[in-house]
Amino acid sequence: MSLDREEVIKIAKLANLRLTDEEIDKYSGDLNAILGYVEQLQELDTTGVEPMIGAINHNKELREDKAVDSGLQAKMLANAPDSEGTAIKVPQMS
Amino acid sequence: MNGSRSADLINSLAYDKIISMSELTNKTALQLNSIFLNKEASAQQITEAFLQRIEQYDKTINAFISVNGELALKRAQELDQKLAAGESLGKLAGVPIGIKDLINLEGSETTAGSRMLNGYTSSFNATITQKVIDAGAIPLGKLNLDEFAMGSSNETSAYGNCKNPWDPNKVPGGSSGGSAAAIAAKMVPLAFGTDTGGSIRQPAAYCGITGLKPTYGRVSRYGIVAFASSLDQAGPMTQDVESNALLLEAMSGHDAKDSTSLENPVPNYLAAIEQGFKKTQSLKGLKIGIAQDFFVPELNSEVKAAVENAITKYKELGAEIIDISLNKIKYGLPTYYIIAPSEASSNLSRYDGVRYGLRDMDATSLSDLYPNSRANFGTEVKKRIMLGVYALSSGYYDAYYKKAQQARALIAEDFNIAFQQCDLILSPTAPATAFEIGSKTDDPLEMYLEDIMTVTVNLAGLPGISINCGYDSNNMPIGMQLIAPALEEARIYNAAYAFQSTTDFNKSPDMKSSKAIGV
Repeated sequence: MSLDREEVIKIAKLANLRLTDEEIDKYSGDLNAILGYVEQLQELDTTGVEPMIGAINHNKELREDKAVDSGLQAKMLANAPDSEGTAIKVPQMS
Repeated sequence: MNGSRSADLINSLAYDKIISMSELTNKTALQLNSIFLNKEASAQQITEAFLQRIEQYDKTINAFISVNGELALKRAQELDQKLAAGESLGKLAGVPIGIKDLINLEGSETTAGSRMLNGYTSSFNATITQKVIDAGAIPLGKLNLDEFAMGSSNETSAYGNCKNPWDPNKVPGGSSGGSAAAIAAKMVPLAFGTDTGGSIRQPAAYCGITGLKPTYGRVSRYGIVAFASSLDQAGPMTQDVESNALLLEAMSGHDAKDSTSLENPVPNYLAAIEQGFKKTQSLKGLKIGIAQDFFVPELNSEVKAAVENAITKYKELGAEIIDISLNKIKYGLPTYYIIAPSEASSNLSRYDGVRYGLRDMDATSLSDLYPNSRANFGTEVKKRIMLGVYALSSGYYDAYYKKAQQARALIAEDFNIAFQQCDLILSPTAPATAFEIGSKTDDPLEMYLEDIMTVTVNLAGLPGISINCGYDSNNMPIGMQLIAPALEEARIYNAAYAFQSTTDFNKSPDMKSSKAIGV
């Protein structure tokens, strides 16, 4: 499988990235080189192999989904680029 | 407590031996802890000694992104007061530590080596940071890394290259390059690294230090900037094996805030060494597996020779050497370069300029704000996000992500079978020694090959260490890797200690030489 410029632009859009023309060229080349390299996985017979989703099997129960007060609201708001009261402010959607 | 009262308390300590600053920075973490507890030097003197060392050498090395001397000295003063008051102190009391700058330290900036997080101040401590502070360690500052831990040379850091203390024209390795360089240059006796595909072990090898990636789940990931969550693990970086064991014990344990952290009890790793090789002076009964699959054609001949010498040394120490096969590990890198970017593309979607980090303040709509703010990612990070988004996109998921997860299962199975025949696996850590800065930036695959011996350990979730086992003809350090079954870190430490304590391969660079100062 190989990627052309159009596909690179499409992926960038999916990833919420805006690329310059120069970057599009660079990424087309680099991504194709990497995809070519990972292609060797296709020679590995994985018929019937259960995909491994994590490094360790966890059968633990999850903790209760309960809201707790971190006590960090003011500090976290201070990290926001723009805020008003206890809300983070962003430009309107369009 | 006011200033004069605390000064009185410190003056009341009986410091009968005067230890010079350079003597202090030459000590291991374990030694510094006893120097502090025996009142041979105060925590403030120890902290000042390392801060001065940073001042002296970090202009050349650039291991630190930020140093918080004031906060460190305040903590040191508190420890001195506690000691004077006879309070009980933790196992790391009085020992300075450096924090890789993608691990939160309350009140300090966390950059992850990226411009994207510019201005972000940690509002809380990562669990591991809190644990070592509770154990009495003194954080000095935040250490340089490849941007979002994506790189093997520190060259992708937005805060400038960290340099290798053995030769500042060379890379320290990555992504925990700042951590490894700071340890090698004796700017800190302890450091945190993180390892997703080799990011603790490869820089440890390049800087000639000791670095361990623990079993996945041994250490909490809470408060650490996520790269690839099913692979990421923080671990200890130190000059010597014993200090490494001490730090791992302090970092480990279950954390309710990380559901992947393990509930298994944390062993006393130092005691394992005490009761192991220190007592018996032999590794009789230990079976070490050697897989030719690690001795790839790209392996540098001097590295190969040093690792073969280490195998001979282990035989002399009483270990049995067994040939094993790991024929699936050649699929490790392609598997990793699907799984890691896929997880990264999801993890890094949170950097959108809304809640923290840089925002394009001129954007007039949300749909502009996201991509404009994300333009602050560096080239390598954007590339990996793109790769991950592509591998996960509809129509390609089965061919890439699912296939890689199946390959991952086969690689893990390969290790399981091998560990039925042996107790540890020994390999080189990296194919060569540290390379020149700027020499590997054109071909994307060349840099990725740096991780060829380490990634499979992350994929299988196993613990692995890198310790130094020789020097090449340019006097650059050579690392070897020891891999154990899950949760057998104590076994690794005992074997690593046996090698380190009976050989002369754990040296530090002469920072005063013209080579290290970079003239």
